[in-house]
Amino acid sequence: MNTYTRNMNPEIQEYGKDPSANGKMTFAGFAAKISLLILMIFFAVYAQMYLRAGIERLNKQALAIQAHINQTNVKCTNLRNRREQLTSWENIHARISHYRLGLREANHRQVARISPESLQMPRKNLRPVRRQTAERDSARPRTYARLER
Amino acid sequence: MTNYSRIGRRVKIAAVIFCLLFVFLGYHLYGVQIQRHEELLTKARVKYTFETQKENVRGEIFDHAGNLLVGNSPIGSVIADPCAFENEDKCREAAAFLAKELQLPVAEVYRKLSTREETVTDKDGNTRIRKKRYVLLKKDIPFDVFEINREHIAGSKFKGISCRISLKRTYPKNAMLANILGITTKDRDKVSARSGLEKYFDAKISSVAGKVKYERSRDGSPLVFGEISRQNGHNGYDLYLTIREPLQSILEEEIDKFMAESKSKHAYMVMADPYTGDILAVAQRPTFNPNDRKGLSQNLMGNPIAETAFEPGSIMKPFAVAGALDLGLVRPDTRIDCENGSWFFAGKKLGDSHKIGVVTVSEVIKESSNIGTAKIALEIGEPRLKNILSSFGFGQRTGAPLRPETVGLFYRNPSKISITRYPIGQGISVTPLQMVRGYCMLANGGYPVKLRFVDRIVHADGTVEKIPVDRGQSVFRRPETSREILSMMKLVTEPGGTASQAAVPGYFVAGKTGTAQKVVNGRYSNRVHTSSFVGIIPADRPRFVLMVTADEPTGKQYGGEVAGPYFRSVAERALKYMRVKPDLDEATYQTYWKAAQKRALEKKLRIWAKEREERERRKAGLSSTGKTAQPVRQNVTAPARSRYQNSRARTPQPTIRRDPRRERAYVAPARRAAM
Repeated sequence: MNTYTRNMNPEIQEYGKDPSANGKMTFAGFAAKISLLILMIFFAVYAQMYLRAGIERLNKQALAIQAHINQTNVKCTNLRNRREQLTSWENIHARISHYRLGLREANHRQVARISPESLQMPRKNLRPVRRQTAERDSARPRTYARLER
Repeated sequence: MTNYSRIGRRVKIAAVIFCLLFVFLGYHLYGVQIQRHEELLTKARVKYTFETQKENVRGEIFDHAGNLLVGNSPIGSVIADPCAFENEDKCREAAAFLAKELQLPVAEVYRKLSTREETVTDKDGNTRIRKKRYVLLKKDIPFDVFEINREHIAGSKFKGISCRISLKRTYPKNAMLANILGITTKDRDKVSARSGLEKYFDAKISSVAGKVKYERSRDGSPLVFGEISRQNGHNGYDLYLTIREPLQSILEEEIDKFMAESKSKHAYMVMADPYTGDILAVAQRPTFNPNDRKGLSQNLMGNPIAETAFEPGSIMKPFAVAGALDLGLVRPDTRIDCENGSWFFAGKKLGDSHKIGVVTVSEVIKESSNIGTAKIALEIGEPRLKNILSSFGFGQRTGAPLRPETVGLFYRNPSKISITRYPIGQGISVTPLQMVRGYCMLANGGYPVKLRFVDRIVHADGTVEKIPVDRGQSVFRRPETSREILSMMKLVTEPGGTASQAAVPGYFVAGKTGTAQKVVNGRYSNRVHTSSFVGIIPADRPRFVLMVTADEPTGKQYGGEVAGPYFRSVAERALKYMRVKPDLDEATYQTYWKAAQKRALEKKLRIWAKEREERERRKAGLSSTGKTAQPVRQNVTAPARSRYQNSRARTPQPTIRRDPRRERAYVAPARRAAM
């Protein structure tokens, strides 16, 4: 028996099929569905790839920033070491000697106390404060204070 | 045959082919996934997984205030891949460029770049030739120079040249504290500590490398979700010492002057806080510069303050006297006959540096009388003396984190005369650190302290681990003992004392000089000495203990003359830095000093007058008593000289007032705990 025979009577229709839809339309619907599915899969894969690429890009940026931070840290370390070398007394002392700076150590004799209440005292009891060289010839009034050692 | 049947045959053939292909595929899949699974997985892992080891940074060492003493300095190195140069011309061009950039001879660089093969020996002993992909062109380039080099190399068109940064141990303060800090060496990227604190705290300072295992892409970069395992490492811990860099600078500067003037073999200066045991500064000579290790020998790297014991001499005296004071055997005004500078005990002569008659215990310390101290020791008695000295930490480790540390010679093979020699610092040897600890105890009221070099350890995560101050129970029964002994020691730096040159204007200094004869060829030498001065300043509210020692000085020999002036100069500067208010203002101090000078002069005049009178008596033919007519307290009656001269083998038994309760008081703390 030939099972591939075709019924040529157009009136005979399969039950349940849309009479307006022919065979071509059915295939288009199926193709559309498949395309939609493939498109969805494509977009899902693309989205994943896009996101991964983004993550990779950010990761590389992070690594670059990390490298930059490391490099900056190294520079900071180098500068700190340099500062420590320069602030060592050995270095400072060498420079003081080299430039013949007239620095000397602190001495309590250099310190003089001035009591503010003494400014209220009669002028005759006070002795004038030694003025700076620049002030000597100025016309400013003389200031007085009692010096205490 | 219809078309349909032809189509059916083709389909069948295609189906068969596909089936065969599927069968082949299935077989291959079986082979790959099941049969060779392990082998291929291992191969894949080797190819795509990678393990990186992140080397962390070794901990650094700072002073108390955070000034860097030992750090890590970045240095650069330039390496090249000889196989990356395509031809000879490129190689020559690159060699010329690198030679100019790195300031190396062109021929040397070209030789390195043109060697593209190397012979290697496998584990099984076979030799083979392989491509050389790595050649070190220059290393240890200072970072500032390296930055410029790197910029130029990056801008050049040559491939196969890379720049690498590594860290090197650096000592920004050069020779400062070099012996204490110690050094490290680097062998194939492995750092090993050689001496000092670097070695003692190596486990803490060393970093732990972090390991990450991940899958990588073809370009070698790690895949985002490809991490397989991670082992976190951490940087080494930072040490914060008790050292104060400004004080250390003062000591370093002064010890150089001290060495130059005394021309001694070795010199030490140790400054410590008596209450906490903190070592504030320590200087030792000879020393070395750890940044320049050419000609560095093992001898220079040691720490003589912990490793070398010496006979201390008279700086030992205050301990025996303090013990006698605490036991109530003597008082500061108790009078002792010092036999005019010569005394025999158990058949052996003991002498003083100058004639001393009958003096008080305070004057025994002031004038550093050996005979007076020996007689006080006889009052104490052998077992109690040993306990006293032991309670001050002699013969024991100080707790300082320095290895090796010697405990010195303490009561090893004692003889009959030992009781008269140990308290004057003969026949016994101590380390400078032990002596400093002993003086700390005298200054702080007798509390034993553990010497500290490290104040705190800061972990990589910022946690601070504080090293506790270890302070025991006071060894003094009487609280006033400390004050009394310090008052006696104050006289040493006053006019007429042995160390008036150590006096610091405005401050009271309690101290003691020591001039110990060294043993040469089994005998005490009169030429070779160890000259020391140990001072506590200000005496009434001590801020620090400072020991100054010169080993075998040339020229001046006495501790007061050799070490005293340098104690003064260091102490003056240190007190200014520490902002310690003077005990007396300048005018009062001058008055006080003049009065003390007057008293000392009057005393000298009295002694000279007596000597003159005695000489005149001799001239007139009268017999001399040989002793000053001062009355002697009966409780410290000195044995008559003739008695010991006539019976040399007999051990003298001076009058000792035994009090069992007081004897118990001098049991050393360690023993007390054991009892």
